[in-house]
Amino acid sequence: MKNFLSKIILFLRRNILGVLLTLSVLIQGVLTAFPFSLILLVVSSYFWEERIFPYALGWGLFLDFLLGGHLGIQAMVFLGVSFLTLAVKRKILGKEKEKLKLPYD
Amino acid sequence: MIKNFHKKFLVLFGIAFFIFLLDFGPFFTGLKYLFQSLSNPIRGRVYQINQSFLSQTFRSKAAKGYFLENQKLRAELSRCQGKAISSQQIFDENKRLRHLLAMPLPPDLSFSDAKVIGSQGDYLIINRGARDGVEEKQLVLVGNYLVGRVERVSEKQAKILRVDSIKFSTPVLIFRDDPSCFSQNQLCQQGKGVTHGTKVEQILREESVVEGNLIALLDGPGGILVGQVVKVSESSDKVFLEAKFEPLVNFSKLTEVFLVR
Repeated sequence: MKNFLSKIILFLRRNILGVLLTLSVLIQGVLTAFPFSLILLVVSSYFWEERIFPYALGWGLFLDFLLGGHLGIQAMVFLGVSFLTLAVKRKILGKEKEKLKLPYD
Repeated sequence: MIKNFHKKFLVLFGIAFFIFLLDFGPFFTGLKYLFQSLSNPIRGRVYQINQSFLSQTFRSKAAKGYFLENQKLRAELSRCQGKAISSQQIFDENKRLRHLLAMPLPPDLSFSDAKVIGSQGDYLIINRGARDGVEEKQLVLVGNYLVGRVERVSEKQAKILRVDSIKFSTPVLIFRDDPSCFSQNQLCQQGKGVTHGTKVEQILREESVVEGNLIALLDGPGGILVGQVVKVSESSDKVFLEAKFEPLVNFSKLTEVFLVR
């Protein structure tokens, strides 16, 4: 039991953003129209980079099912938002990386 | 690396778009219903908790006060609306009884009762027909208010043309809404005309028909009221006056009517 609990805690620590994102999708689908999941998706996209895309598709479809609307819309929105986040990150931070680092910087 | 990133995105976006297009067809309907049937109880439960628990516990004291006051006012509003409806019912009944008392129908009239079993445009359908002795052109009343005229009779049913129908036309007498006028409405006469739908037409210009006047049937047994004038205006040819009237019967609440024999 203790082992099982520690495994769960470890899983939560490693995937805290994913767990939070799943919860936010559930909250957005059931409780409120405020786009919590999009905000968390932007944060997750920043850290997970292109590994976020399959998850964005999955969470988007899940939210579509929860909202009972037309299937695929939220999935496309989620994918678009994560793509934009990555594009902006690479555009800004990519150039930062390219800069020559001088010893007195 | 960048190409890979674009490719991955495009593939997944394509899948999402494909699903979006497929959803215009019936492919996901079953799955959606299944998901909805699973999630709706949770949604309902969460909504209940949100309403009863969050709204009362986690709000500020002032917000909670407003919430409780809102609930109280809503309850009071419902109570007042209920009272207003029952007052209106009492008012209508009082008006009907007053008219009936002051303007009784001729004692030699005999009636047969019938139930209203349906409505079809300008017609009401009753559960009495030829086998019950119903005949065409019979007048149909509620109290002393005219409901209409029997238009078509079958074996077990009959169709009544409503008094407010454009197909219904009868000569009428217009008189003041005064208790003393009820029993001798010829003396308080304000005008004469012919009904056509909810209008009385061919009223002479010199006749002083005003809003609130009552309209009684001129042709047929005395004491039968048709409606009440709500607006008086000139006819389109400027020769006569015409009066718009409201029937005194609420057709949507009719359950029983009486046929004049």
